[in-house]
Amino acid sequence: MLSIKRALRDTFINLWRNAQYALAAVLTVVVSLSLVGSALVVRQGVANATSQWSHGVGVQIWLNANDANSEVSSIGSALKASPLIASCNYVDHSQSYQLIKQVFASQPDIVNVFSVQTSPTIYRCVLTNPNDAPAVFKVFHGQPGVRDVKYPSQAIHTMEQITSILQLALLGMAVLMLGASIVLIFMTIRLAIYSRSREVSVMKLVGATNWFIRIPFMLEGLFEGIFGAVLAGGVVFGIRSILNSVVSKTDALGSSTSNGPSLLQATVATPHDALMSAIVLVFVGAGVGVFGSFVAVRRFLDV
Amino acid sequence: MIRFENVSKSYKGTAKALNNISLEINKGEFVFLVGPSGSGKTTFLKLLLREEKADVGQIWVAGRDLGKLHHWKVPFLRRNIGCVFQDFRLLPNKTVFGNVAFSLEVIGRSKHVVDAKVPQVLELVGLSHKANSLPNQLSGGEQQRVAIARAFVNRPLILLCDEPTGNLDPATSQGIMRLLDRINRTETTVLMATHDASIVDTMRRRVIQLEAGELVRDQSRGVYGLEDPDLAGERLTGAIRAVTSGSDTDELVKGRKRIRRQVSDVGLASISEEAVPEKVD
Repeated sequence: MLSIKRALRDTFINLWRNAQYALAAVLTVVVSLSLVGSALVVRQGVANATSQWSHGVGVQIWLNANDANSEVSSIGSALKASPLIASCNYVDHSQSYQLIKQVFASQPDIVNVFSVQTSPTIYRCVLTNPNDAPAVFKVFHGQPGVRDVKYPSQAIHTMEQITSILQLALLGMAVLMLGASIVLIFMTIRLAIYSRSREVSVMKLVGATNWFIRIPFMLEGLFEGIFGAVLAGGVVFGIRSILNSVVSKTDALGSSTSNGPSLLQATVATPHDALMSAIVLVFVGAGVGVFGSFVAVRRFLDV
Repeated sequence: MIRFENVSKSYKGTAKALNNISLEINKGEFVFLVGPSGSGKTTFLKLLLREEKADVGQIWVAGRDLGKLHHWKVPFLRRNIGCVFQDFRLLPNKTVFGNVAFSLEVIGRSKHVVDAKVPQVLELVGLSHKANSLPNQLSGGEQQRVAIARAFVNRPLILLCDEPTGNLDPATSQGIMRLLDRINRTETTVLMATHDASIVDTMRRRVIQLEAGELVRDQSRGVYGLEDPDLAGERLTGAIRAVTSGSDTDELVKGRKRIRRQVSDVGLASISEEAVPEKVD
């Protein structure tokens, strides 16, 4: 009991004595882990979007608004006949208009442009195999009565490319910054060891065990790492909610569906994802702190 | 308690710090370790504390074979060995009580034990009334007493003292020696490295002398300055010759002092005080 209390007390005395260095170390941990966390959240968001779009609606076939019924039904039967398509769901004028009103509830100007008659009708189709979307596109694009064929895989593909570059960049910077954090924690602990060298030499002399001497220094590193990680977790949450508010304001019509968030919205990770990332960050921060301080303790404590 | 068997130790790129040392120190002995700087005294003490390992030979301390002692067990060895240094090594920001208590706390003794033992040992070294003073408020002698209290509070089997009186005046040194003697009478083995001839000469305890890493003398009830009886005899003869033939007054005084010392060193019954001419006419 005495020794636990003692170790904690010594740890906080160390932190207090070297407050400036400890602060520098903590801030570097915050920056590096924020980068790591952002990378994780972006990755999770893209994964969410991809899975949603590949398991949900595969292809949307937009028809001309003033279509004759015969063309609508011939396209419908062609879709039904196609082996590529599992099932389709027809969105008629009034449903389409409802959807428009729903999506653009906050922008009546856009809603006013449409009426029930001018709202486009849509076949929303689930594919047998989500990867066949380009083939479906080839078959139906340019057919009479079809205004456009949309499928998300192009968008997703582009987005995956962009985000993987972004992730790589973020992770690269994060790794550099993590290295810097380890070095800074290492230097902070070295300083703490030097400033307590008298005490350490007396402790060795009277037979304090090696771990008894080491633990306060390692705890100091651990605290710096975890404290930085918790702050970084906060930063990640902050970034997520800012992105979320931006996205929900500027969401576009084309990517919206009635059975889930839009592609853009899906890309913003859920609070759950952010929480998981924050937990990962705390572990990474603890690891960074323990590693940095352990190397310092091994090199400079000589017990 | 301490046994060296053919122990040699050398540091990289230098001559042997210790060469083929064999000796045994029993429980409760008081031993002076003498020899000029660089003779291997410090290496001797470091080997005992397992700060260094012997290249050759075996060392037993308190029943442990240090060559086979696991790295992690070294602290437990050191709990049996108290250490006192020339420069006291007290923690400046802790009180006298705090300094002594520290050595118990860091080996995991409970507050109960600390509160019981520290006043006892402060009483022993005569500093009960200064328990709340800081080291910089104490004299050198008092600081060394605190250091001794810290080394002794855990009742070690062995007390190592590396020139404990090196920074103290003769009167204070005597007080410290009385204290060490008292500790020695509690069956604690005391091993003291020193350059202080007068202390060694007055205490008349076992003397182990090192010279360039060699054990050159191991004498019970020894004195500081004796290297070799034959050599001492020669010096004595030389000194007498100088006194009897000298004319310079300073030389005469020095010579007489030397003769007295050598006579007491050798302890030769045949040469009595009277044999040394007090005056040369």
